[in-house]
Amino acid sequence: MTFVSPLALFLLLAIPIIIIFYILRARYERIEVSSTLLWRNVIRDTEGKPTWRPPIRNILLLLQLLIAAVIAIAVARPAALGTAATHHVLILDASTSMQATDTVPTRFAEATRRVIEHIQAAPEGDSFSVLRAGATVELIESGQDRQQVIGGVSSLKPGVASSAVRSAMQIAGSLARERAGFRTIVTLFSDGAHEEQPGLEPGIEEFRHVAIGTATNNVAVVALQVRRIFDGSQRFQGFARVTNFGGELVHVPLRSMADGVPLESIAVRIGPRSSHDYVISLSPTVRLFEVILDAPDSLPLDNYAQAVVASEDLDVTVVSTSPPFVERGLGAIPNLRVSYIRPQQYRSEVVGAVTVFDGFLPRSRDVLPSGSILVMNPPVGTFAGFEIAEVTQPQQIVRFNARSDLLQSLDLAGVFLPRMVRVKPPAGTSPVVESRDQTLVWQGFDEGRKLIVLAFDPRQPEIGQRLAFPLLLSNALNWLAPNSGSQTMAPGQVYNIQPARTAVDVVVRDPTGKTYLFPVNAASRGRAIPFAETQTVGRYAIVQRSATATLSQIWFTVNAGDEVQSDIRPRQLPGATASQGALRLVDGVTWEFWPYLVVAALLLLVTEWFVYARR
Amino acid sequence: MRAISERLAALAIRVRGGFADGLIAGARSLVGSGDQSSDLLDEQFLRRLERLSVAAQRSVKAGLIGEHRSVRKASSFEFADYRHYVPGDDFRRIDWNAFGRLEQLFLKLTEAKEDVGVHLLIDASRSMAWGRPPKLTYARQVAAALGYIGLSRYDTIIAAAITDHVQEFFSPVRGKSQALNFFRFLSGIRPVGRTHLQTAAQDYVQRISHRGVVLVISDLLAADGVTEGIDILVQRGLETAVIHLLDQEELDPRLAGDVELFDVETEERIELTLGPQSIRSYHERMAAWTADIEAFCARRGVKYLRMNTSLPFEGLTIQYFRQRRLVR
Repeated sequence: MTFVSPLALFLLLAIPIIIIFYILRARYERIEVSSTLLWRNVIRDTEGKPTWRPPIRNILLLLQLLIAAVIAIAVARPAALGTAATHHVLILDASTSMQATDTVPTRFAEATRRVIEHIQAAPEGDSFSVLRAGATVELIESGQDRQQVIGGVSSLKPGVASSAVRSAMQIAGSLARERAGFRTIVTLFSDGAHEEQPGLEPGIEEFRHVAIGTATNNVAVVALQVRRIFDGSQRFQGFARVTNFGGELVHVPLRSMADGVPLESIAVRIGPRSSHDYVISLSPTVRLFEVILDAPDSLPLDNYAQAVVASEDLDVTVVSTSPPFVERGLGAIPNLRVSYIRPQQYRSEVVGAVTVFDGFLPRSRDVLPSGSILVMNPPVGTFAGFEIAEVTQPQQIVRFNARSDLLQSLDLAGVFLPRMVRVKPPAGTSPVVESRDQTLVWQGFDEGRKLIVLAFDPRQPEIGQRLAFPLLLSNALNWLAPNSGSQTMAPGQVYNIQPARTAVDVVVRDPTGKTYLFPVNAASRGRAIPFAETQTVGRYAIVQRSATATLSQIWFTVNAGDEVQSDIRPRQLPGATASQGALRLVDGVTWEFWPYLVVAALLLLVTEWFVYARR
Repeated sequence: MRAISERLAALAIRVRGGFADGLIAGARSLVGSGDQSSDLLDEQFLRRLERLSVAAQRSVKAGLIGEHRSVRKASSFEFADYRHYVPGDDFRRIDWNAFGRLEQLFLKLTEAKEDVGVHLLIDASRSMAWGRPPKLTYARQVAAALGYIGLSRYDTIIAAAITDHVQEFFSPVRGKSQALNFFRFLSGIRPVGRTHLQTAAQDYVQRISHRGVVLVISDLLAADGVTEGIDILVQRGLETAVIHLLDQEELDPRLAGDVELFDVETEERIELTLGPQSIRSYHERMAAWTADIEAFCARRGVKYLRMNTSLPFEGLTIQYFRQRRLVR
């Protein structure tokens, strides 16, 4: 037998303390008597005696000593030693930051080495499960054959997505609950650069974090975009955000290229933990824009970013009783093919990739279009599953999600709306713009289709002046139809492909040349195809084909730079025990019996109370 | 409801049994209502009391003519004895009838019927409120019984509630017609202050002119002044009796462990650990203390009666009084 927390045995010092309490004459019960005259004489018998007395035989004293001893031993966690004991769940962080080179050759390689060491150092009979936490979580190996497990770990490759450590912990909890006879210890090998923090799941007895990496110096292109300039020149504008995640001022050489041709080469000066926004004008014919940082840092992967400019027009259908207003807004947006129909002409089969419902909604959800939807100023009542009510009080915008694509370049603070409606939106949407007690703009997904709801009439003068409606409309269409405009994504993000009406299949080719085929049949026609295999940095081609010919080919790019993943400084995880990977303290422990001691202590406490009450 | 029904019952007794019975019942209810305790004087018990008198062993000087006999043979009203005439005797006391029958000169001796004052000193200190039942309740019952005996025998009854002085004074009265007033006085006694028998006795003797029997009813729980107080009463010429009241818990305390004892009279606190040895020591102290008082009383010719107030106050008490020649 051994004690897992032997330091807790210091609590046994409570035993002499209790005895001292009994020796010292401290507890007196007050009793009224008619006179102390005769008792004074009794006192005289004991006068001159010390203030302590030998401990009297007292059942309460005995019980209290027992309680103290049992509690002290329980807190020390007595355990039986045995052979098979521990189930090690080893989570390997495969996020972008793990490709940092501050540990040679990379953090991921170092983590792999530590995992193998950990497996080799574990006692015989232990069980192992290895999880790779990238954009998704994969169970690499599981079992007691350590050679097989080590073989699986050795073959692992790093990724460029953020790490789903919370999902990994949930899976670890499930694995722990499956192995009831084992004590499960989860160890995460990671630099701690996670957007989400892992929580301890039921069944996991201990969670340890083996910190990987030392350096913090990294400069990254964290955002890259190409957008149309609204000045009638048809020119584009290239935008790049470069962030210095290190603690010192840096001068970074920056190069930009358009369709492979160098545009500019400058040196940018960026303070510690600050950003620099780089903007450059591009020709109307540009198709590829690239930014390169020639800075040697710990994560070269995010020193390069590229963006493609789509050439295909977006097919938009506006269903409106009063189209001129929307027409003016859409007229300022390039690469659109817009058709207008009256509400009574509406049928789901006649609309394009994006449908704009202006002051109208079909009654039934069954006749909603399969493509993306923008709803403006919906009518009061229940339409297409939306419950819409009138709001009589004027509303002022007080909250908005500044990170939303929808609000790019828009300043909504304090905008006043005299009229609006209240919409109960589908579960898959989230508020983007809110007044004190109403939501004005919703954005999200409804049964797989993209959806934006503007719960107000954009014709109101205040909105026209302050909200820059054409810009809001442009942002909305950009988001609703990702096939258009600048196509840059972070690793792991889902790209929604909108199949053409006549397409029979869609082929996606990733930067490594691997192709993914998505057939388009009658059932799926019109619905967006989600493409999630975006864990490789580079350019992806999307080819839409009819039965006889290629209909279109567009590109999108995946860049490694990311506000979270490029911040490579190692961090400790809350709730985890720091560890160098050694688990020898608990090696061999098969069974802890402190819960039984706690029950015994409770029973003793009840007995002590009973004895005291009966006195 | 119970008190009302008792008073109605008392009224019925008064109607059926005449004045004396009604008085008894009224007195009983008065004394009984003094501290919300149970009935203190049973009706039959009161009837028995009427047949008793407070014993005065020594001769008493005549004041008002009462029913008590004086051992001093004197020209008085009741025949006591004869003796032979000797020269110098008063011719007026020669029994000429006897001379006619026996032809010898005898003097007829008579006894003077003299009034005896019955003084009742009731300890009203806070310690008397202690006990189950409170010792003061018991003291009231004893005083009521003895006072009623005295009133029934046409003795003068004087009473006082004492602490370290005379707290309440009940002026001399005689006759059963005063019984209600006397009981009312007893019921009005409240426990206050601390006992000091010496100063209380000094205060008392300055207020009285009667001699007679003085009955001190007290727990005598005072650090000093007890023997001095008794001496003052004796020296005043009062035939003194001490009725020492003690509760069962005082005689045989059932305490153990670490206790803080709080004196309800002096508010003194003492802390001690009690075990069998300490309790044994207390018993020894108690025995020595009561023995000292009893011995002192014996030396002064003072009757000493110790009573356990936890025992019911009934006929046994009177029997005990008789045994100890407090009444006859």
